[in-house]
Amino acid sequence: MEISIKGVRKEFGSVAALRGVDLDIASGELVALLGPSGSGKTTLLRLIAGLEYPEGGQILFGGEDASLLPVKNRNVGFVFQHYALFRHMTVADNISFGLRVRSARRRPAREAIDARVRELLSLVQLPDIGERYPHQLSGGQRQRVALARAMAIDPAVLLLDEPFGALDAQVRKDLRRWLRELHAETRHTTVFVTHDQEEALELADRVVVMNHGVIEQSGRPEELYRHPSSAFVFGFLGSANIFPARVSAGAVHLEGMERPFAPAPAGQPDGRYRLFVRPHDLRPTDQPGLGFVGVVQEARFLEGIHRIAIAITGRRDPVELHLPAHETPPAAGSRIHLASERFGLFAA
Amino acid sequence: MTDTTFEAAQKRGRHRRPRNVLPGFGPALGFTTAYLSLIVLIPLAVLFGWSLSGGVAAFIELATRERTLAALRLSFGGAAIAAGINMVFGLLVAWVLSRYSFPGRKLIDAMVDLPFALPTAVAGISLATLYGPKGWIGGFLADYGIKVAFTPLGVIVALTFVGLPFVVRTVQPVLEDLDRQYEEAAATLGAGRLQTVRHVLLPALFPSLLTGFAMALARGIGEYGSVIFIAGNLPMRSEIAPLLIVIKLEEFDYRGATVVAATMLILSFLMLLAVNLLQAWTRRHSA
Repeated sequence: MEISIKGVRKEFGSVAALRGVDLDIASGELVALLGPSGSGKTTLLRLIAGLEYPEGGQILFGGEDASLLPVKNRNVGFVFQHYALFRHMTVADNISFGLRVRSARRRPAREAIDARVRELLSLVQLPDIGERYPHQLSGGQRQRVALARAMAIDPAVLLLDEPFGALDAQVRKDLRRWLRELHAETRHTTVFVTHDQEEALELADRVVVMNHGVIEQSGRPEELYRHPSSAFVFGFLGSANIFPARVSAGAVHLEGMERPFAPAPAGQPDGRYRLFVRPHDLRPTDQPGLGFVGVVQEARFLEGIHRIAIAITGRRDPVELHLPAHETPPAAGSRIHLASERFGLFAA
Repeated sequence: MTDTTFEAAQKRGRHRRPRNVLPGFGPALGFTTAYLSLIVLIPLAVLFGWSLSGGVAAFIELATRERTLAALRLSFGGAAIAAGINMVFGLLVAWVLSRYSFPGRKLIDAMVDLPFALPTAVAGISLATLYGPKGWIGGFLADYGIKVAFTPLGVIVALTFVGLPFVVRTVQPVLEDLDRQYEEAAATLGAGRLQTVRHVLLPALFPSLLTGFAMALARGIGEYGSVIFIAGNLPMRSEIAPLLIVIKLEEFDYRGATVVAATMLILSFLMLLAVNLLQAWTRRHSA
């Protein structure tokens, strides 16, 4: 079901958690709400679920105002960060809970419920654990049971709060791929919250970056990564070297460097800026005209990438440079000349 | 060379029990056994010895006398009813104290412990005055034909008073630890408030409720001071078993007193055992 959020505001006491958020989620879309803690992403998720009520604005489910609909009538599947499985119930009872609490008129027959539980257990690839209790399962298994429980009620939207937050790295990666496949299969409209940019970029159709209670930018993962609209988004979506810089006479200069770093982008007004450049967008160059010179401090090799720290006079932190595995890293102590055509300029 | 000594050590070790990593098991167990013997086991053994000094048949005859049975029935029945009342209202108090914040919450929280702290005789006298035919509550209830003081009902009132803190203090921490997310999860799945309480909250609280019940029950069975002032102590009607023991002691009927005591002990043990088994059973299904 499509979901539309219009000008939603939420305060906790005197603290503004959301300051006017507009967002449209298409039916069947897989959306990530990405942001640091305190950015309002979890509050937005809980507002969609009906676990909180907005102070202003509207939340529409399929065109109908659901802002004041109580949570139990909203028909959302919510997966909690720590799963919130009912400890005294078996896995099967947990999954069927949402069906069993329905009024007699809407409750499926016993056999239909059992069949649905079996179907969901095989969907989450845990066919034989129906009789077990949550404490007998691993973290990854609990996560999948929680998801099955949320899907049992055929929710209008699936909401996942930091779904992989409590799992260790390898399980997290496996579950990510699995969730991607599951979504491709079921096409449930899904919104999940994460503070991990890698998770958001890998999993979501669309990433919504939030900061200080507003949406900074929203778009497809690659689009966001390539064209971040603000310094915050640039910095949050990956590692970046940040320089104070200025634009004058059609060129970008790094503060304290003689030669220009690059030609200024067309239409960029003169003035002071902060320049962001990704470690893998920097390139060693022989061209004498542009870029800057530094001294190689150390080179490490990790996950198929040479990670090289470069010291520059007048700058405290070394500049980070990433080179692909097939290239030979420069020796420590050698001088290196770097330039880049890809960078971001944001108001200082 | 190191290899051979290692192997030799291993071979030697094979004949020995593997040592526990926690040291001091022997002395600790020894002390525990000695201590429990001194404090619990030996006094109880002496009690049973005394009670059986006239033979088993005499024991049974004394234990099944009408007055003894009536007193036991009142003590155990009253304690069970009072513990049951406390289970319901203690849960309510614990709920209010842990879920809501309001002015005076700390004060009410402290008041819950008063039945612990108050000398039982003081409690008994206040209750007897309050619930007596001329007391505030007793006078009011008398208008409706309900007599509390000097009846079995009075016994229940006194036992409810002394048992309250047990349930509140065992349930409250569990309730405070119980994450709101379980209630929220139930709500997102479409459960109403009552369904959430019945299917999610109560099962989670049940083990601690049971513990509170057992403790209130145990306290109620043995309670003496607060009851005797309000009960009226009419034999066969409002006389509790601990009082019967005191009466027999005053009559120098030591065997009779120990028979009542031993019977109480056996019954208490069986009741607490049943509660514990029930608890173990529920725990196996939650953990």
